[in-house]
Amino acid sequence: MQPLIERAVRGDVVAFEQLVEPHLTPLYRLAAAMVGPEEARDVTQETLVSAWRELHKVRRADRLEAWLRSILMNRARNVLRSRRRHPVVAYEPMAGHGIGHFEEPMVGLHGQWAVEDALAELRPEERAVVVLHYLADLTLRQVAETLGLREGTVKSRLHAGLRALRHHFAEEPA
Amino acid sequence: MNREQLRRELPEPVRRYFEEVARMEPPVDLLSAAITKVESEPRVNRFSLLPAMVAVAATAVIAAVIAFNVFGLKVGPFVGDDASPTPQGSPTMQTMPPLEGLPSAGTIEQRYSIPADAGFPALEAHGSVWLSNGETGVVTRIDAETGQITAQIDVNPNPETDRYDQNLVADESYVWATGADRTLVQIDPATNAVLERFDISVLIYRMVVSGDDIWISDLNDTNSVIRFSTTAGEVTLRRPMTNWPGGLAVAENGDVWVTPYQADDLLRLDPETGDQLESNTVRSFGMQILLFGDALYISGNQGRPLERFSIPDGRVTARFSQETRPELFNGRLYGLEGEALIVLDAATLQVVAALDMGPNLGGLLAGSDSLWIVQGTEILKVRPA
Repeated sequence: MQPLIERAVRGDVVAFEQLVEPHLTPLYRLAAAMVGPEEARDVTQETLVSAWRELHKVRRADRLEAWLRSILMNRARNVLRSRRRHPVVAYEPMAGHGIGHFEEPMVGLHGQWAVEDALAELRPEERAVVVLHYLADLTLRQVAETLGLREGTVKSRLHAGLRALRHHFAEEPA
Repeated sequence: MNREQLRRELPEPVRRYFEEVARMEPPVDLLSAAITKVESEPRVNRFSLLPAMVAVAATAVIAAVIAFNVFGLKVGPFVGDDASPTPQGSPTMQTMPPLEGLPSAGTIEQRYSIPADAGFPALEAHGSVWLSNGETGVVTRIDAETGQITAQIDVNPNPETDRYDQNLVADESYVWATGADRTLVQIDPATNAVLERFDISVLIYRMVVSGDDIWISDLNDTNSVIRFSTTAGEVTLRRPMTNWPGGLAVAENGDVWVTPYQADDLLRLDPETGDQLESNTVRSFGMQILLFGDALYISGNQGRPLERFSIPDGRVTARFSQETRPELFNGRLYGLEGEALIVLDAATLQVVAALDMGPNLGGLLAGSDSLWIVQGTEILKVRPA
């Protein structure tokens, strides 16, 4: 992979595309869990543009995925902070699945509004920890590295986030 | 702690939400849109000796990408009757080019009137084109030479339960139709009579004939792949699947290929036991698989692209950004996009020819010596270029 990074750093857009393409889907899913499907596209796209600008900072090819993830989480947290400063009713139902020639079963995200409401109640920092740990399956140490935090801080934010979610769904008293 | 144990710590609605997010796919044009933005970015060059060379190289690369994707320049050899060669390197995403300037995909030879509710062209077999309408349950048979309607067959009058849709396949002796009430219907092409309705207790989605067997995917009921013996008149294998089996193809060696709905998988099954032999990652959520030589063409769903999967290479080798459901004619792939008939290069999935057909296209079928396209209340016989 290293030659691809070097080519991309030198301005080879095709090399850059090959470099980031394998990471596109996990990045998009992280973005969707952080800011919701509506804004996931923008956050992912901004992440890739930032990565293009800053690619020279990547020293090791095996760190690329973690590095992209860090950029995306920063972007996503900025979106969430901005949303908390300027609250809007942002969540719309996802469009029905286009089916084409035949009729297909309709499958939507289960109870997404309720979950989105619950996630929106978390502080962006808590949401980031919950998403990285439970959606991306990162260890607490990896979460800490991604967010630039100490592991103990990650633990406490995870605990707080989990408690808030359980409270929202009436599994635990406040 | 594994993923499942980990997620048990979450409230149930959040756990389910995350599971579904973990299956989401990015919009097909996301990467290309990001790359377009990247291309417009001023590059901070850290290699002082190279700026001019880099600029020239990058411009050349960008120009090549634009030329291939926008102007539809041809890459690779033209594809003839044989299976298409597999391109090297990572798959590229072909996009729909402007139709102007493309060679013609064919000429309209004949227009035949059909009933407004005749449905889509499902099959050419036994000297006829067979149109199918799943809502009415009627199959309309048209003579392939004269365009005359020779029969309208009510596949299953007075159904008690619905069918998923009404597909047709044929072997040397019979036409087989999706019946209502979880049946498979045998039609005699000599008399147009329904000979038998086999209760197979599955909601048929796709059917593929392979020798004396019909392979069936049941997407929405028992979630299984079924093998029906046309000689024994009974189901000889039922294989439950973990996902919803949708697209189906049988390779020349008998292997059964399945693409589950809303999953990133392309599965290879043992035709004797139904055991899963192989799993590959695809993007398309494929609802239909077309086999050509040693390649599988998996039609996209929910905005996902058409993909070409090379069986010997075990990987996706080309993508086309549309959900196109291709038909194979004389070594070329034909599809309908918008109001156009398009031709895709079988190796690269690049659009290499097109024919503006106008509105109200209702389905495409590749026949033995022509293409059939339903348009409004007509079926058009198109001679491919």
